[in-house]
Amino acid sequence: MTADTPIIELRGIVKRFGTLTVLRDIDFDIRRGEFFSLLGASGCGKTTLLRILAGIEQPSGGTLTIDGQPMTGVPANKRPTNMVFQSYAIFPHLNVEENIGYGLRNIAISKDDARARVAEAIALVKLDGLATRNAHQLSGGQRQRVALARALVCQPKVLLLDEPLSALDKKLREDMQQELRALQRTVGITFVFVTHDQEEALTLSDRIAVMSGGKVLQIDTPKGLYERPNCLEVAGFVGTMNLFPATLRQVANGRAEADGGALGTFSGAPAEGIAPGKPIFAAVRPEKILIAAGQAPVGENAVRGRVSAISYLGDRSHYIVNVPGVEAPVQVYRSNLAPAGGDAGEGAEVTLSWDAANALFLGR
Amino acid sequence: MTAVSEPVAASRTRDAERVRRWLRGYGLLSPALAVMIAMLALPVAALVLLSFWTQHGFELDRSPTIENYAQLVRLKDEPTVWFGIPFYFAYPVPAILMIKSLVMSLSATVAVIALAYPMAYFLAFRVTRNKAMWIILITIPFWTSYLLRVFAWKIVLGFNGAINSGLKALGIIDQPLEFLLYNPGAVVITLAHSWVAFAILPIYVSLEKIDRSLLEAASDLGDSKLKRFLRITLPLSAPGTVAAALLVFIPTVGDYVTPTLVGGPGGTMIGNLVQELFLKQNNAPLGAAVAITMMLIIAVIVAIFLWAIGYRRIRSRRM
Amino acid sequence: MLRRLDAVWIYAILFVIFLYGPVLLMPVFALNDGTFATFPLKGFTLKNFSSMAANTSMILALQNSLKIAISVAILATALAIPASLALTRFRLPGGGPIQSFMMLPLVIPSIVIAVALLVIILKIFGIQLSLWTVAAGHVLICLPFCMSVLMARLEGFDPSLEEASRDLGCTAWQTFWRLTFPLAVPGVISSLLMGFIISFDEFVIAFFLTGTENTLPVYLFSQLRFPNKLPGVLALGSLILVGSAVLVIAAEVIRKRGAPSNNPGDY
Repeated sequence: MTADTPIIELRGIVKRFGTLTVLRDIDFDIRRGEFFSLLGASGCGKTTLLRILAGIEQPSGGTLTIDGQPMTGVPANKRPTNMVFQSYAIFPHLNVEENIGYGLRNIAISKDDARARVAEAIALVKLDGLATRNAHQLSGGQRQRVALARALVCQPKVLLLDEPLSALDKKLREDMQQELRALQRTVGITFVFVTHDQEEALTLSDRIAVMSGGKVLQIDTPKGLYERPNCLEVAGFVGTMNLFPATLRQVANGRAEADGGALGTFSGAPAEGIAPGKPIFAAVRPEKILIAAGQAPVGENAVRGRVSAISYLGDRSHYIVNVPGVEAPVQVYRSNLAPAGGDAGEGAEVTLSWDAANALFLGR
Repeated sequence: MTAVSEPVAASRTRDAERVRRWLRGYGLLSPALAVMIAMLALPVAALVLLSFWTQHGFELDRSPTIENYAQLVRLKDEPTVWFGIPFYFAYPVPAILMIKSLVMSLSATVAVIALAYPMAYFLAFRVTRNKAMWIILITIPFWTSYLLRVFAWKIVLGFNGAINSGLKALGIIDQPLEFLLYNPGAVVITLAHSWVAFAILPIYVSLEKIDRSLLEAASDLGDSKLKRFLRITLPLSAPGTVAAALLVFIPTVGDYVTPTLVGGPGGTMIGNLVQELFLKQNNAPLGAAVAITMMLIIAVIVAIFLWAIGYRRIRSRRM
Repeated sequence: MLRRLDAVWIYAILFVIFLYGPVLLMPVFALNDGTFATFPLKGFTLKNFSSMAANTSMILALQNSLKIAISVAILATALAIPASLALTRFRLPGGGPIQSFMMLPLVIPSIVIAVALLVIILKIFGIQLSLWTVAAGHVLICLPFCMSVLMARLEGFDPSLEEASRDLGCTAWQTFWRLTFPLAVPGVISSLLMGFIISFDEFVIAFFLTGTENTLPVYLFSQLRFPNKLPGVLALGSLILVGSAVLVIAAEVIRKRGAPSNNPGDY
C-alpha cells in the first residue's frame, strides 16, 4: 500500500430507499491525506454517501474499498472510519472525557494509554479544563469539539464530517473553519466533509465533489471548480456566472468560436462534449468583465448594456447591467482600487468586454 | 467511467444482512408477542369457541350450536316494557342491560370530555411554570386504586354519606336524600370522575403539539379569540379528543366495579350480567356469548363513529 | 406572584377539588372517631390504623398483593424492554399492526379479559386458579403501559447517538449496555413502578382469577359489604391511596427528570 493508492475507492455505488433512488452510479476515489468535500444542496445524496462510507447505511449496489479493504458486509463498528455527526450525538449520560474515551474501550489498549490519549485529544481540540463537564453543560461550539475529539481519538484512517459547522453562528463557524483546516494538517488524516455551503467548501477543501440529484457532477480543486466548471449546474452552484446565449460555430485547438447573433461573436474555451451547431452559453465570471462607459462597437467578446444598479461594497463595486438578449442581468465586479472610471453611473450606457481566455462555453 | 456491475455475492450479503436484522427484531419482539398471543388472542378465541357450546347444569355440551346467540335475540309476543320502550325479546335482560350500559357509558364519556377538555387546555396554554407538577397532580388519581375511587363515591353519596350527613348537620335537610346513590346517575358521575384524569393526557398532547405561530397567524388574519379557538385549536386537537373519548367509552361499557358498588339494582350494567352468568348462574357459554356480543356491538359503534366524523381525514391533517 | 385569575384558572382549581375531594374524604373519615363515615366529625383517632396490625387476613392479602405486584412489574418490564427496542429500532415489516395488537388490552374491558382468561385456564387447560393465574393476567394488562413508557423513552433520543456508538466501534450488544440501557434507565424504573401500581391496585381480573387466596383489592371488596367493617376499610384504603400516590409521583418524577435533552442549556 503506497502513499499513491487512494484511501477510498467508490465503484458504481447506488442507493435506493424503496422506489426512490438517492445515489446513482457514484464512482470516484479519495486520495490519502486530503481534505475532501461533498458539496450539494439538501437532498442531493451527500449525507447518504457519507453514511455509506461510515457503514451506517448499506449501498443497494456497487462496491466500496477503504485502504484497500473491501467494505461490503463490514459493519460500522469494524470500519477504520469515524464520524462527526451533524447533531454531534454527544452521549447525554456521559461527561466530556467519558464521551471522548467511548471508542477507546473497543480497542485493545491499556487504561493508562487510553487516559493519555483522551488527555491529548482534549488538548488538541482546546477543551482543557472541561474534562469532567456534563454533556448538557456544553455550548454548541464545545459540543462540536467533543464530537471531533471523540472521533479523532480513535485514530481513524478517514474522518467523516456531516455538516459539523451548520449549527454554529457565523463568527464561530468562520473560526472553526480555520481551526478545522489547521487540525487536518496537524493530524494528517483524510477528512471527508459534507456541506451545502459552497464558500465553506472552497475555504476548506483540497478537492470538492459537487453533487446533485444523486450524481457527482464534477470533482476538482476549488480553483478548478471555479475557473473551469464542466456544466451549467456546477457553474451556478459555485460562485456567480454570467451567461450569454450563442450557437457554437467551430472548435479548434481547445479554442472555440460562437455566434451570439445581435450580441456579436464570442470566443473561449469549450467544455467537454459540446459540438459545433449546438446552442451554448458563453460563461464569464463577474470579476473577469471589464466595464467601460460609452458605446464602443460590439465586437468579439464585447456587448453593450445599461447599468440598472450599483452597490458599493468597500473593496469593490457591484454592477448590475441589463444587456438586451441576455435573460438574467449581467453582474460585474469592479475593484475600487482602479481609478474612478466613475462616469458609468446608474442608467448609463456601458460596454462590457472580456478576454477570450476568461470565457468558457457550456452546453445549454 | 462506466458503471461496474454489482457482484452477485455482495448483493446476496446485503439481502442476508437485512433478513438477519429482521430476524433479530422479531426475536426481540417474540417473548412479549408470545405472551400476548397466549394470553389475549388464544383466550379470546377460546371465549368465542365456548360461546358456541352449551351448559346443561354441570355438564358442558361441546357440540357446536348457535343456541346462546339465538337465546339473545329470540322474540316473543308479549313485550317487556322498560322505560316505555317495548322489548319483544323472550330473554330481554341482555338487550336492556346493553342499551343501558351504552347510554350510561356514552353519558359518562360526554361528561369526561366536557370536563377534561378545559383542563387540558389549561395545562397546554395557561400553565407556564411547574408544568410537570401540574401534570403529575392530574395523573395521580388515575393510577391510584380504581376500586377505592369508586368506593369513595359511595361514601360521598350514601344514605349516611358525606353529602347527606353534611347537609343534615348544617340543618338544610331533615331526612337523608335517597336518590343520591344506587341509580344510573350515580354510576355516570362515578365513571366520569374515575376516567377524567385518563382523558386529559391525549387531549393535552394534541393541544401542546399545535404550533403557536398558527394561533398568531389566525389572530393576525383577523380572528377573535373565540373564532381562533373554533377554527384552529378545536380542529387541530380533534385527534387527541377522539382518542380520549374512545379510551373512555370502550372500557366503561363493560365496567363491573362501578355499577356493583354505586349502581344498586337500578344501575346494573352488562358487565354485571357477564359476571353473574360466569360466577353465579354457572352458564359460562351464555356469558361468553354476551361478552362477545358486547365487544362486537362496541366495535361496530366505534367504527360507525370514526367513519361518521371522518377520522382518517382528521388524522392525516396533522402535520 | 399574582396570577391572572380568569375563568380557566378558576375552572382548573374547581377541577382539582372535584378530582381529589371524594378520595380525600377517605383519610378524613379514617381518622374520625366514629363507626360511620358521616359529618359532623367526632374526634381524632388512630385506632382504625393501629387495629390493622392485628388483622391477619388483611396482612396475608397484602403479602399476596406485594408478591404478585413485584413479580408482575419485573416480568412485564423484562418483556417490554426487548419488544420496545424491536418496535423503535428495527423497521420491521408488520411493526405497526403488531404494536396495535400489543396495545389492545388498553381498550378491552377488563371483565372480558378476565372471563376469557378464566375460560382458557379452567375449561381448556384445566389449571387450578391461584395467585399465579392472577399474576399472569396482570402481566397482560401491564404490558401496554410498560411498553408505552419505554417506547416514548427510546424514541426520545437522537438516533445518531446509537449510530455514533456503532461508528466508535461498539457492537449492537455493547451499544445496548453502554448507551441505550443507561439512557433508558428512567423509563425502566418508571415502567417497573407503573407495573407494580397497576397490578397492586387491580381488582376485576384478580377477582375472577384468584383461587382461595385473596389479593388486597379482593379482600377490600369483600369487606365493603359489611357496614361494621367500614372504619377498617377506610384506614386500609387511605394507606393504599397514599402508597400509590407516592409511587406514581416517584415514577413520574423519574421519567420527567431523565427526559432526554440534546440541546445545550436545555434543562
